[in-house]
Amino acid sequence: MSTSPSLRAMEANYVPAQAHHGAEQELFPQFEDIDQQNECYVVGMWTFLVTEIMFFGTLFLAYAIYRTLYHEAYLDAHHFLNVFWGTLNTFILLTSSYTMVMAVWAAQQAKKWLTIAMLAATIVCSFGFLGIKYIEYSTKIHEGLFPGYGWNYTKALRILEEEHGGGAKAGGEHGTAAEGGHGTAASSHEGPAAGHGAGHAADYSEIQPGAVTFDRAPKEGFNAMTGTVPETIGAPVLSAEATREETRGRHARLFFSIYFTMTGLHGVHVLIGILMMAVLIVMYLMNHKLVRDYIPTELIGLYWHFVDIVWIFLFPMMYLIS
Amino acid sequence: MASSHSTADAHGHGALNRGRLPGSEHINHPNPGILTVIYFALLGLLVVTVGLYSVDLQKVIKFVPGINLIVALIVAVIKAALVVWFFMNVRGGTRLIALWAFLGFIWLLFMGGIFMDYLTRHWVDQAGWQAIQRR
Repeated sequence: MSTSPSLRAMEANYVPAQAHHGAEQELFPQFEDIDQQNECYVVGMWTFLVTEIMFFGTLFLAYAIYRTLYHEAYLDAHHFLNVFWGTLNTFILLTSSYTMVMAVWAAQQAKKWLTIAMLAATIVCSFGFLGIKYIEYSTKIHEGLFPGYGWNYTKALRILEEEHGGGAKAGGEHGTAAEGGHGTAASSHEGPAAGHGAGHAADYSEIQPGAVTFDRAPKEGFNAMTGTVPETIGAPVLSAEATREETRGRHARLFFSIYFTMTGLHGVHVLIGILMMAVLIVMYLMNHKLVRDYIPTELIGLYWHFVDIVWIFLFPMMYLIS
Repeated sequence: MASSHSTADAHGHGALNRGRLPGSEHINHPNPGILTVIYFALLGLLVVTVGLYSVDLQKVIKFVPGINLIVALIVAVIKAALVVWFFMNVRGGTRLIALWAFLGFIWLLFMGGIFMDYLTRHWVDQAGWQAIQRR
C-alpha cells in the first residue's frame, strides 16, 4: 500500500507499448491506453482543420456572394484562367494525396524507406503544383490581371481576343463582354493577329488601362440618360457602353482579387506542407525517436488531404464557371 | 465497477487490463488496395468535372436553373467526401473523430446562412453616380 493504485498503473504505462501494425508506439503517461492516445492526437489535428475549414470557408462564401451578384462578369473573367493547367494541377494534387496516404500506410507498417520514398514523391508533386501555379501567375501578371498597380483589363481582354482566340468565346457566347468596346478593335487587328499567331507575342505594353474608344451611342434605358448628363456636373461623361465596360472591369477585378487571395493562400498551405514533409523525411533519415510512431506522418497526411480538398472545390469554382 | 483485486480506481482509470476501455475505441487503418481504388475513383470524378464544363445540361434538364453548377458542386462534394472518408480515415476512426470532422462542415453551413444576408444588400444606382465617380 505504499503507492496508490493509479500511480502504480502510471508506472505500468511506461512499459513499452504494444506493437501497432508494426510501428512502435510509445504510450505517454497521461493516456489510458494507446487507442486513447491516438484518438487524442487525431482529434487535436481535426480541431485545427476545423479552424482551417472556417478560414477558407469565409473566402468561399465571399466568392459565392459575388458570383451571384456579378455572374456575368465572373463568366467573362474566368476565360482568362487556363483549364488545361487547372486540370493538370488537380491531377497532380490528387496524386500527391495518394502518395501521402501510402506514406502513412508505410509508416504504420514501419517500412522506413517506403515512407521516405512516398513522402519524397509527395514533395515532388507539390513542387510540380507550385511550378504550374508560377506559370499561371506570371502569365496573369503579365497580362495585367493582377488587381494591383498593374491592373489593366483592357489589355487583358485584347490579349485574350487576339492570342488565345478566347475573346470570340467570351464575347459571342455570353453576349456582351468584348462586343461593345472591343468588337471594332479586334476586327481592325485581324491581320496582325493572324500574323503573330505562329510567331512571337505582340507588344501590348502601349495599351493604357481604361483607354477604350466607343463608337456606339447609348440607345435605351437608364444609361441612355446618363449619356446626356448635363454639363453642370462638370465631369467627362462616359457613354453607356463605356460605363458598362468600366463596371464589368471592376467586377472582373473583384473576381481576380478573390482568385489571387484564395489560390495564394492555398499555395502558402502547399508550401507549409512541403516544409513539414521535408522535416519528416529528415527525421526518418535520422531515425528520430518521434517517427518510430506513425502518428506524425498521419497528422501531416490529414493536413495534406485538407489542402487537397480545398483545391477540389477551388478548381471547378474558379476555372469551370458555366 | 472495479473488482477488489483490480488496480483500477473507481472511475476505471489505471486499469492494467489493456482491453478496450469505455470511451477509447480502436482506430482501424485502411489497406493500400482500397486506397488505390479511391484514387482512381477520384481521377474518374475529375474527368467528370472537366467533362461537365463542355456539356450544357440546361438543354437536357430545363426545369432546374443552374443545373450545371449544382451537378459540378455535387461531384466536388463527392470527391471531398471520398477524401475525408477514406484518405483522412474517418471511416476507420473513432466516433469522436467523425463528429469533429462533421462539425467543421456544419459550422460552415451556419456561416453560410449568416452570409446570405449580403445578398439582400445591393448597390443602389443613383442618377449621375457614374459621372461623379469619374471626377
